[in-house]
Amino acid sequence: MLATLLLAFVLQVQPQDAPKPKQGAYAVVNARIETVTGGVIERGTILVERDRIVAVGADVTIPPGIEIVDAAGLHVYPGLIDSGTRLGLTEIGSVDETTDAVELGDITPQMDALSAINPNSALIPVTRVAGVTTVLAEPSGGTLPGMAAMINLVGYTAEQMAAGARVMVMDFPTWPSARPRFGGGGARGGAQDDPEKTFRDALKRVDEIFDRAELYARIDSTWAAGKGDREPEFVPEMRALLPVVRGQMKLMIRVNQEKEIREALAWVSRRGYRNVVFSGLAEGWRVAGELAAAGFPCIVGPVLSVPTRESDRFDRAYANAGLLAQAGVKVAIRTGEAENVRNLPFNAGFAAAYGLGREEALKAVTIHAAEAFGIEGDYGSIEVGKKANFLVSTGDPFETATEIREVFIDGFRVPIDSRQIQLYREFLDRDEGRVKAVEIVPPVRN
Amino acid sequence: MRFRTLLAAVALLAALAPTTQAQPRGSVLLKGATVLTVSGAGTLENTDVLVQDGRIARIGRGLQAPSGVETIDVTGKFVMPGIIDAHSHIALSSVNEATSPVTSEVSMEDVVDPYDIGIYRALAGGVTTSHVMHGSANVIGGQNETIKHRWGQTDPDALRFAGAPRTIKFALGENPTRVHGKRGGGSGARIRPASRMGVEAVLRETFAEGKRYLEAQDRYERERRTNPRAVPPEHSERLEVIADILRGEVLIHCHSYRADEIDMLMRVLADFGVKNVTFQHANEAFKVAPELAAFGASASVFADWWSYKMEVYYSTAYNATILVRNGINTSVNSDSGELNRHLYHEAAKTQRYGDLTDDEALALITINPARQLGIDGRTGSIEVGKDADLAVFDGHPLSVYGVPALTFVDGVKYFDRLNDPDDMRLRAHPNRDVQAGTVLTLDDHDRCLEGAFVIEY
Amino acid sequence: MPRRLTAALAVALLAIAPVAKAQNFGARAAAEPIPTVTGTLAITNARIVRAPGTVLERATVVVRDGVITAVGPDVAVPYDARVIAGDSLWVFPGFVDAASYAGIPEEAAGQPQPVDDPDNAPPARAGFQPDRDARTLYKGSDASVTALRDLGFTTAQVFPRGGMLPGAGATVLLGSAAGPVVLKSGAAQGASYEAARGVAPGTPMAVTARFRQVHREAARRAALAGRYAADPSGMAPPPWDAAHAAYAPVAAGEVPLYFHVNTALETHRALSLSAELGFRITLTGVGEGFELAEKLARLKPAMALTLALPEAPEWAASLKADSLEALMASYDPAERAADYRDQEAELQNLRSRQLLARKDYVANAATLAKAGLRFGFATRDAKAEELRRNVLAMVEAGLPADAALAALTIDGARLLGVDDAVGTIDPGKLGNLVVTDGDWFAEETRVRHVVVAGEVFEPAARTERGASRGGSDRPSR
Repeated sequence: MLATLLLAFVLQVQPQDAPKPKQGAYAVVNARIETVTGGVIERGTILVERDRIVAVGADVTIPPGIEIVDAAGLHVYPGLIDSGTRLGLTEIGSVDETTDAVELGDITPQMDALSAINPNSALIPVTRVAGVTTVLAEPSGGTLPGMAAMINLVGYTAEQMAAGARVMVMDFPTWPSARPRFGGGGARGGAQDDPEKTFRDALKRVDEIFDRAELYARIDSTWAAGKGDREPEFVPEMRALLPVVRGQMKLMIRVNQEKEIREALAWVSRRGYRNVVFSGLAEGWRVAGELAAAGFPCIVGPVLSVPTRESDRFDRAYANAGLLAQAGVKVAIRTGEAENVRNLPFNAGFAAAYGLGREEALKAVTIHAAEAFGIEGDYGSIEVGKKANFLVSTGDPFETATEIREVFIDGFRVPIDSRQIQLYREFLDRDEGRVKAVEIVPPVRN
Repeated sequence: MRFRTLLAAVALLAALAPTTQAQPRGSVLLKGATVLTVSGAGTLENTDVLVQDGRIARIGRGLQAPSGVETIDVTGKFVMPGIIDAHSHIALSSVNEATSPVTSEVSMEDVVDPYDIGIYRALAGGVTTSHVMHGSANVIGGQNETIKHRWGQTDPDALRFAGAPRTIKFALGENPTRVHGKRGGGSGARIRPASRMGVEAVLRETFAEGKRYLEAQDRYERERRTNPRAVPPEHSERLEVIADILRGEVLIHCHSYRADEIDMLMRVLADFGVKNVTFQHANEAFKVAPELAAFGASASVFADWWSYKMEVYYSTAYNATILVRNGINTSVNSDSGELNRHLYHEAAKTQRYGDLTDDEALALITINPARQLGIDGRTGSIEVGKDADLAVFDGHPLSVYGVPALTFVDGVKYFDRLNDPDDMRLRAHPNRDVQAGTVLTLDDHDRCLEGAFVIEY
Repeated sequence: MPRRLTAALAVALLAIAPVAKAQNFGARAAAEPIPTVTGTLAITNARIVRAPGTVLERATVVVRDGVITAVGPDVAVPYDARVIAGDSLWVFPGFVDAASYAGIPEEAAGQPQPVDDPDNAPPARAGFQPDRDARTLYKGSDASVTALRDLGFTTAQVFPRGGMLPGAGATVLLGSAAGPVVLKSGAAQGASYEAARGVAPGTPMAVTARFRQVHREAARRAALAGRYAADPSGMAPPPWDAAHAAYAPVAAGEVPLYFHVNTALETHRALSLSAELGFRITLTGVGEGFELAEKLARLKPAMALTLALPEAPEWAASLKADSLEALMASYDPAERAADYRDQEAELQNLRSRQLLARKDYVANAATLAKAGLRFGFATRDAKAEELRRNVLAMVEAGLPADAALAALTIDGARLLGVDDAVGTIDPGKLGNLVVTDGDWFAEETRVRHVVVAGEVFEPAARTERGASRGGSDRPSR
C-alpha cells in the first residue's frame, strides 16, 4: 500500500504541483466491472467524457489520445452513496464555530444545507478516497430543520457539488422516555408526567404545521391562477413547504423507535403523502411488514451501533437492514457521520455479514440509495449516460484490506490523497531530528 | 499502602474467599480450527486446542478429549485469543469524579457493575477482558480495573482479573482544562488547570507532594523503631496512590492527543523516575514516535476516530501503523460500548490505513494490550499454560464478513451466537416500559466525560 | 389591585368570616386534649399476641406509668385503670422501625450554591456530618410520626437525612412528646452511598474513597488523642474536628455503621468495605437482597429490610390476577425473535419476565428468611400508606406471618439493642401495644388503638387503600 502511495505520489505530483482532481476523457481498461444494474463485466472498459460515462463493455473501442487507466486485476464499482451524513456541514464536532448543521428554531424548512456546504473541508478528501463519492448532507435540530442536499465529494462551489436531490427533513416526534423509580430511594427520577400526552401534543403540532402549509398552498395556487384578490402573505417557512405538500419535493422523515415508526406510517397515510422516504429506523425490523406494505424507500443506519433495548439480541442493529430487506423493503444505508463517512463501506459490510448479503448491501449503498432520492437516472450504477462516479479497487470495497486505487467523481479523476495520507507520508519515517532519549534519573528531582 | 493491601487481602480472604474461588473455570476441546495464536507459533491450520480447568492444556492435531470434557467441532472456523480492550467504560456505575483535578483516591474497582449488558455485547464481539477506566475529566483521575467478562456472575469481585497490576488514569489537554479551568466542573468553580501549562503544573506539584508524603511515611517507619512516641503523618488516600505511582507499583494510562502534551508527560515522568506509561488515544503519537520509542512508552489508539474536537483535527488513521513501524507497543482500543463489539474490525483497518500483516493487526487487540496492562503472562495469545480466553469466528476475524461465533473466558463459554436467546440481561426491571429503547447517536458512545458536568448553573 | 376588585374581595371575606371562625373553633376544640386522670391502662379480655407464636386467649394486659406490669388470662384490673374492653380485639406488641425518617423534617432542596473549592465543600454540602445527632433534629409533632404510629409503629430508630455520613441515629418512642423520648443513642451512625451534588464526593466511587480516608484518619487522630491525654510531653496537640471525632467510635469498632443499601451492588460494596476497613455494619434497605441471598446467608450481617416495593408496571393494571399468573408461567428464557412476525411473542415474553422480576422484590424478605436470616424492617424509603399493603404482599409471597411479626417487633428490637425494653408484651417492658379488630395480617383488619408507653392513640380514620388483593400490584401513576 505504502509503495503504491509513494509511487503514485512520485508519478502524479511534481514538487510545485499539488495533486488535484481533473476532468477530461479517460478510458479505464481491463477492469472487472460490477455495474450493479447490468451484471459483471470481466475485463471491461469504461469510457469517461467530462462528467459522464459514455461507454461500458467488454468490446469498447478506445478513441485515440484518451488518457488510459490500466485496471488489470482490479475491480470497478459504482461510487458509494451515503444516504445520511453531516459531511460538509461540520468540521470539528466540539468547536461550535465550525458547525453549521443546526439553525435556531423548531420550524425552519427554508434552511438549505447546500448553502452551508464547505467544499474545502478537510473531511471531504478523507472520505472520498474510501470510494464514497456522493453523500446526503442533512441539517438537524427541531421538527423541520431544513432541506438536505445530495452532494458529490468534488467541486469548488456548492453548485458544482450538488448531485440533484434536495429533500425536506422532518424529525418525527418521539415519546419522552419515562424512567420509573426502581426500588426504594424516595421520590427521585420522575421524568415526564405523561409521555403519551407529550407525544400526542407534539404530533398535533406537526399536523397543524402541515394543515397550514396545505392551506397556504391553496391560497398560493389560487393566486397563481389569477383568481385570488390579494397576494399571499410572505411566509418563508410555508413557501419552503410548498413543493413538499404539492408532492414535488421528497419529505424525509427521520424516525427510529417502533411505536413512532407506526405513528409515522399512519401519519403519512392519513395525510396522503406519497413522495416520502424514511430514515433512521433503528427499530425498523420490528415494523418491517408494515414498512414493506407501505412501499416507501427506507434508509437505515448507522449499522455499527448498539441495539436500542437492553433486552434486544446483540446484533439487532447489524441485522436490521437484512431483516427489512427480507420483508420486502428497499433499503439504503447511512452512517449518520461527518468525519467518518469513510466507514460507509464497512457499515455495508456488516449489514451484509449479518443477513443482508453482499449483493443487496452493495445496492444499499449504490442504486437503492439513488432510487430513494430519485437520482437513479444519473447515479447508483455503471451505465452509459450516467455520471462518471466509480471507484477502482484491488477487491471488495467493503473489506478493510482492499486498496482503493482510483476514484472518479462527476468525471473528475480524484487523487488518492488527503491530509491523513500526507501525515502518513511525512511521519512514517520521520527524520529523528534531535531525539534525545528522555533520561530517567532516580532518585527523584524536585 | 503495603499494609493496606495486606489488610484488604486478609479481609477479602476471610469474608469473600468462597466468591473468589467461585470464579468458574471450564474444560473443552476445540477441534479442527485455523488457530491464530498471535505468538511465535503463528497460524496453525486444522488444529485442536484442549482447555482444561480454565487453562490451555495442549495445542496440536488429533487431540482427544479426556472423559467428561466436551468436544466442539470448529472445523472451518478461526480461533484467536480473546480480545482485550485496553480502554473501556463498560460495567461501571460511575465514570468521572470531576470535583478535583486530582482524584487518585477513587478506584473503578469500587464501582464495577456486573449487570451491564455491555459485558455480554462485548463478549459477542470476542472481547474477554476490558480495562475499565476512570474518565478523562481530571489530570490525575481514578484508578482503573482490569476485568474478565464472566457474564452471569453478579458479585463484582467475581469479575476481577486476579493478579492484574494496578493502573491509573491520567488526562491531558482539552478535557481537564475544559472541565476545571474553562467551564468549572460539577460545582461551577473554575480552578486550575485552564491551560496545558496548568496541566503540567498540576502534575509536577502533585508528584512533589506525593514524594514528600512518601518520604514522611518512610521517616515515620524508621523513627517508630526507636521512638514509640513517633507521630504518623496525616493520612491521605490521594497521596498514598501518588506515592505508589512513584514507587512504580501503578501503571499510568494517560488520555492524551497532541504530540506536545505527550512529550511533556514523558519529561515530567522522567524527572520523577517513573517509567511505565501507556498513552491512551494518542492521536498525535505518530508525530513523536521516535521519542516514544526512546522512552519505551506504549500507545493505545483509535483505529480512525478524529475531528470530533480540536486536538484530534490534525490526526491520521495511519497512526497505529506509524507507531508499530517505529517499534512502539501499540494497541487499538474502543472507549465505547459500541466500538468494543468490533475491535477485530478496528484492528483490520490498519490494513487499509497502512500495511500491517495479519499477525501485526491481531496483536493490536490481543498481546499488545495485554502487555500494556501487565497481563501478558496470562492472556493475549494462544499458548499452553495461558488462560483459556478464546474467540471463535466464522470467517477470518480481519475480514468484514468474519462473525464471532463463540467466546470463552477461562474455558467457560459465555457467548454462543447460534444458541443464545435474544434477551441476555441478567435481570429485568420490575416496572420500566419493556418497549422503551434508547437511540444512541454516535456522540453518545463516548463515556470519557460522563458525569463531568453534574450541575448546570 | 383595582379598587372595585378590592371592595368585592372585602365583601366576600366579610361574608365567609363568621363561618371560618366557627370551623376554626370546632377544629381547635377537637384537638384540645381532655385532661388525663390516670397513668394506668388495662386492656381486658383480648386475644394477646405476646410474641410471635405466643398467643394468650381472653387475657388482660396492664400498663402502669408507661410500663407493662401484668399480662395474662387471670390478671386483676387495678382500681385506677382506664379500661379498654378487648372483647373481639387483638393486641400485638408495638412495632419497631429499625431505620426511619419519622420526625426528621426534609430539608428544602433548593438550588445548590456554587462553592470555591468543590474538593473541600462545607460538610453539610459534602454529606459528611457524623457529628449530627438525630436527637437534636427529631420533631414529635411532624406528620410522619403520626402516620407511622397510626399503623402500629411505636418505636423507631431515626436518622438524620442526606449524604454519606448524615449523622448518629437514635431510638425513640413515637409518642406525643414534642422532643425525642430516647431509648438508645450513640449506638448507630448512618451511612450510605449517596453522593454530593456537584462537589466531592460526587460519585459512589468517591464516597467509597472518602470512607477509607475518614476511617483511617479518624483512627489515627483517636490514637494520637489517647496518647496525648495519657502524656502530652513532647507532642503537639493532635488535630481535632467534630466530624472525625464523631466517627472515631466507628473506627474503633464500638459503633456500627447503619449502611443504607438500595441495590444488590451497593450491598456487595458495603460488605466489602466493611471487611476491608473493619467497621461493624448493619445493612438497611437491602431491597435487592435476593440477588445475593447466598452471600448474605454466609456472612449473616445485621439487617433492616426496606418496606418499600417497586410499583407494578403500567401495562399490568388492566390485567386480572389469573392472567398475570398465566403470563408469568409462560416465560420462555430461550425466546428468539426471527423477524417482525415474532413481535407479539417477544413482547409477551418480556412482560412475563418483568412480572417475575417484580415478584423477586416482593419475595425478598421471604427469600432471606428462607436462607435462615433474621432481620428487622425499615420504613425510611416507603410511604406510610403503602407499608401495610407491602408487608401483606411479602407474606403472600412466602414470608411466614410469624417471621413478619418478629421482624416488626422483637427482631427489630434486638437489632437495635432495645429488646429488654420493647418488642414483646412482657411485664417490665414498655407499654407499647397495637390493638386491632382482628389479625393484623388479615386484609380487612383495622387498627383501633396504638399505645405508646401507656399513652393511647386512636388512629385517624383514613381510608386505607392497601390490603386489597394484589394491592401492591397497583400501577404507578
